[in-house]
Amino acid sequence: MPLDNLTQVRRSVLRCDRVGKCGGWDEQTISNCPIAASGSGMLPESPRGLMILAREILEGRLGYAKDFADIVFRCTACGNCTMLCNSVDLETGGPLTQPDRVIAAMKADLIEAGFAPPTVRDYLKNLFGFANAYGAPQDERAAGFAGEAIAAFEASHEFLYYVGDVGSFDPRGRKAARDFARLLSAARVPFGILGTDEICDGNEANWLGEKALFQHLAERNIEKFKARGVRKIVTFSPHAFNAMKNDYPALGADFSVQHYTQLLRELTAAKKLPFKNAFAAKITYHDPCFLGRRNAEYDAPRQVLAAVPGVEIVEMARSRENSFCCGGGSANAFADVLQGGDRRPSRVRVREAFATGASVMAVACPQCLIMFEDAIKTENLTGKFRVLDVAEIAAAAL
Amino acid sequence: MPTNRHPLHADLAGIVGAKYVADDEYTMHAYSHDSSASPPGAMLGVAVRPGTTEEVVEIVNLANRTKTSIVPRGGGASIKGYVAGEKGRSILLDATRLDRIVNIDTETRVVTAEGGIILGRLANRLAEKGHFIHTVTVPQYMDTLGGLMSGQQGGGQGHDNVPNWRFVLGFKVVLPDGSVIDTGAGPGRNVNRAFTYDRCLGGPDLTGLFIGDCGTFGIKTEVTLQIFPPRPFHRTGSFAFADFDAMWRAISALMQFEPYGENLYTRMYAVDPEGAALFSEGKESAWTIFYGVDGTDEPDVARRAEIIRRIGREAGGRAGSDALDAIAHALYVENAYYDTGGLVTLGMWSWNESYSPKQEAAKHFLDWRAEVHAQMKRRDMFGYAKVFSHILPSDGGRMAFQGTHLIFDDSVPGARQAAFEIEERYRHWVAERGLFTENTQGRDANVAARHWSPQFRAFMKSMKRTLDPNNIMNPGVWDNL
Repeated sequence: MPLDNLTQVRRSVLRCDRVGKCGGWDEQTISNCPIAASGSGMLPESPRGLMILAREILEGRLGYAKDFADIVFRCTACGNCTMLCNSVDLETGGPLTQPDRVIAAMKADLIEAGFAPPTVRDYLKNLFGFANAYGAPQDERAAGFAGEAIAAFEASHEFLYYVGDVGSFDPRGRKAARDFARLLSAARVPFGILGTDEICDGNEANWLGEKALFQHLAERNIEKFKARGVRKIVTFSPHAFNAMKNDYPALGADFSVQHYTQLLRELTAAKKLPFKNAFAAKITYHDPCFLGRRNAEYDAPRQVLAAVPGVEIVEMARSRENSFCCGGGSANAFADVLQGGDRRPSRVRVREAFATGASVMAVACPQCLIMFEDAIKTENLTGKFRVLDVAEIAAAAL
Repeated sequence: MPTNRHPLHADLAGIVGAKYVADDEYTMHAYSHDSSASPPGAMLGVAVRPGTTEEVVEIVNLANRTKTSIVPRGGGASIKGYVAGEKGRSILLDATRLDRIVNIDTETRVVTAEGGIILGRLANRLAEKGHFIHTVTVPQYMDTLGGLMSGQQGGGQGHDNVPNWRFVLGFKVVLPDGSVIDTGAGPGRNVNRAFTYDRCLGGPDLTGLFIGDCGTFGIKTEVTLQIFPPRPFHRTGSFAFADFDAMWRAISALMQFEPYGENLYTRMYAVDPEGAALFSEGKESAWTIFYGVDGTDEPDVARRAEIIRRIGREAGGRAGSDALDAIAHALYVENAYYDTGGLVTLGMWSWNESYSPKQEAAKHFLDWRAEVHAQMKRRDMFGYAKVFSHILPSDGGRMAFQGTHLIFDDSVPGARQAAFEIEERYRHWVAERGLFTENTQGRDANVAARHWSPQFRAFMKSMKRTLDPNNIMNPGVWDNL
């Protein structure tokens, strides 16, 4: 039974003191773990339980099995557990233990042992075979921009607009991604896209523990970017932003990377976005995990929304670092191992957003967008409530 | 991950719903651990999460019918290991679904909450209403109310350095025979009082019977506690001393101001130089007293703080540095004490604490401190483990609560075993000296029971048989009972 990946995070496993801080202890945190929130509350369905089981496995009292994979792959890599743990290694000043990394290591072992859930296997096959999450032909990648005057990236462009899989293939994602391109054009930002030459950023593969696949995708991307003379990248997805900003440099990347809301913030501050219309609505903003908790960017999306005429922002009780994941991370947006019925995180989150009295839930992540779009239908809120990307809201005011 | 291996799986699912029953090996392995260095407990047979008192009753009735033992579990915060239960057979009753607040009454100053509520959550809800409970200080994000009552003698030591069992007013208990009683006096209690709650107004203190019972006398599904109004003015500070003797002189003098008629300090914690270094991240290293004074007006806290400072000076202390004062402020005003100022996340902890009578407290403190250092040196632990010792007044200045915390890197081979051996040694060291630990749970309870007098053992056996004729409730926690 392969334990190579878990062994690599052995210290993180064994230095956990099992006090359960990772699981939260109050209304604002107690159910922020998507596994715990959507499950039965049994101990294995919690970060603390998974850390205990990691120790059991590492010390040979327990082995991997399919049943275990069915829990582990429900983790969305939202990072809530590691943030709450906040343990400090006094020797290094770094974290003492990181439950999210341990869970990712167990996913990697489970994949190697052949225990990955079928939908996860399908997802990974798509990445292997098609370099995108959908298993779609590459020539469909730029279809969302058909009819738009979007240039192929050239070295003379200031920005490479990295669209990502959801913005490239999903109809809902395409619309939002297109709106961001319109905003860039309106602000006269020199940018281009890779079009059919773009491939997946690999962030989800990385958090699924498929390090080799991640490295393969990342290296291909880095090679392409360098060959094209890319200096600045603006990503539509926080997942791509996370990978390119935090993980690509170790593989030789040396690019400036921004999430699109960060660039929009600069453009609105410089008055380069010519808003002519009001977007009169009460809006509540959902912090995506890979933009917020993982990259501490909470303000840019709010500042962009606040700059749009007519927008009134109301906050959900769980917001910023305490945001509750949409349930789509670590490929759950595609593989849907998490599930959860009426306690599915996306449905819970939509109910929370609707309860604020807002008519619009704003997101800054295409995965959140498609997760909530489905949840609104399931919650029978169509016509009463909608989810829009920050880019769509800003573009509507042009 | 339902597997239906256990013969009672279907019956339990019929009581609580299939979702809340599991008997797969992952579930049972996870539940075999507490948060201590102790070895895992027995792999029990099936785990169940009841959501109401009525469901607990049905589970207990089922256990009696089938002669299957029950191991109740709160937050899994035992720091003393599990010793109860029968491998592959016992029912692990996870109480954490019993997490509702039944009532908060700020007029008569009581709160009733279900036994599985996490303490930090209860404290936060009370804080919203401007009240607090006396509770054990660590760790608020894991301990359940019922677990504290059963395993930590009513909740250890909290504000005012007072044992918290004093503020427990009553329980709803599912007894081992499946019947339910409400202890204490108050509306609907065993002594029915229309308006007020108390432990024993006009009747016996049945509540006390269940405090620190290790969950062997029943399952506490509700707890009623006294709550306290806010004390919005604070003064905090610290003193550094050249040696233990000077620090102890100050502590002894401060203890004279107890009991509560002259409530000088709200919280006090004294540590050795290793403790000061850990708390201050290496900035300070002195025998140190941290103190906090809470009060209802500024002149009151200023007066009391001045008395503390005078006592500290007279004992030979100097005012603590900014770094030490900042720790006192963090501990007592910012409530960082909820997780011991963050120290709880430094690694695996081994807790060795006990109560000593005041006249012997200094000797016991120094003896065990020397012993633990010697034991650690003998086991070559200092490369990967830190230790600090603490002492603080307790229970009206009659006693001191003292001990050591050993924090170790569990990724070092053999570390856990070494820490466990020292912890075991401490259990016996305490029992042999006639002291007692704060934790009436796990291995502590087991060892303590070995030192019961024959008369007391006979009484406890009789009591247990009366309450639990089939011996289903947490059997084996108390040795040979």
